[in-house]
Amino acid sequence: MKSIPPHDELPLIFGRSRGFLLSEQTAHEAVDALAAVARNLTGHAYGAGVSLIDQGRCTSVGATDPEVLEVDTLQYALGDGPCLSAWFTNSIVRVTDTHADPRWRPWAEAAAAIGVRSCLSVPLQKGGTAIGAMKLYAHTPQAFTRNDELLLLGLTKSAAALLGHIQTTDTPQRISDAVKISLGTRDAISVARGILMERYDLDGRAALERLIALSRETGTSIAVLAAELYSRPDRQHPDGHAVQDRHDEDRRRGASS
Amino acid sequence: MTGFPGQDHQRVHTCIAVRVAGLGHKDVWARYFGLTGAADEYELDAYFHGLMPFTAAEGDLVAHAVNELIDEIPPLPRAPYSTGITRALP
Repeated sequence: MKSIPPHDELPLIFGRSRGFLLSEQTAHEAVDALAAVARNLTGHAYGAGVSLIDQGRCTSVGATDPEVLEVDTLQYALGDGPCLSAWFTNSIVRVTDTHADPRWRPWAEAAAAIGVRSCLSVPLQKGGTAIGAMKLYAHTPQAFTRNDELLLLGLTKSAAALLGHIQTTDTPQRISDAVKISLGTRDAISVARGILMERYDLDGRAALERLIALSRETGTSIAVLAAELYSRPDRQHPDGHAVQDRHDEDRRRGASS
Repeated sequence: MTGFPGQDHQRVHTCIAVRVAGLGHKDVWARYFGLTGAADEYELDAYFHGLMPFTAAEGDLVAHAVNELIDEIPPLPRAPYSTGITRALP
């Protein structure tokens, strides 16, 4: 550790933020693979996919076929369907035949027209809360067995564990906001340190110690003190060292005349 | 980096303060970094675990960051008395 804040910390922080973005991509790729596993292990399914639902916004990840995306998008557009229901009720939803199932008729009819006859949808849970659903679609009615359900249940646990880490899509944004704020206060404090160093003939460390002491005395945060210190038009120090200022002013006048 | 008297005392009691207040290490680091702290997150973690000594100045910055965060924790809601209920209501 160096005693002076090094500038090479910045790439480190931004690199870490980028790491979060990368992990989102990695998680999506892993979920793609899980969806493909789900489809391949259940011989009757033609496609599989995952719906993520966050604050009313639905997104499909890990769709194995364009048809899966189409049937999913139908659900999102209609605001109803087996996957939304699995998410909403946090329970397994089975559609044995889209021709006969009385629920979600607009969706079932549209899905049947595309060729989807049965569907199995299992909620993705993160800490007891549903964050979406993993589903299988088949071209034949009554395509899914109890074993398929158990398989899908097992896979949703892995998918949820992966997706749970990136479900809050604002994570990278929040981190960069925190970094932005930190950089802002760092900057303000550095300026304030400079002012104190020049004003009281201190070294950098003593100036910081002075800021800490002042913050403790006044019960004001260092960031606020620093902002006050360089924004005060009369350059009066919050601890009342205006006298020193006047001396400085006199000295400057003396030097310029 | 040399030790100074009371170094461990400061570190241990800073740790206790962090734990009792339920502060996240990330939040502590972000504040400490904002106060011109020079150590990265892992170094701060190592410091808390007693694996990496900090200078007195850096230790004070950590302590100050922790204290600022503690000061910002909203006070617990208090129970109202029978007198002055209407005044206490917002």
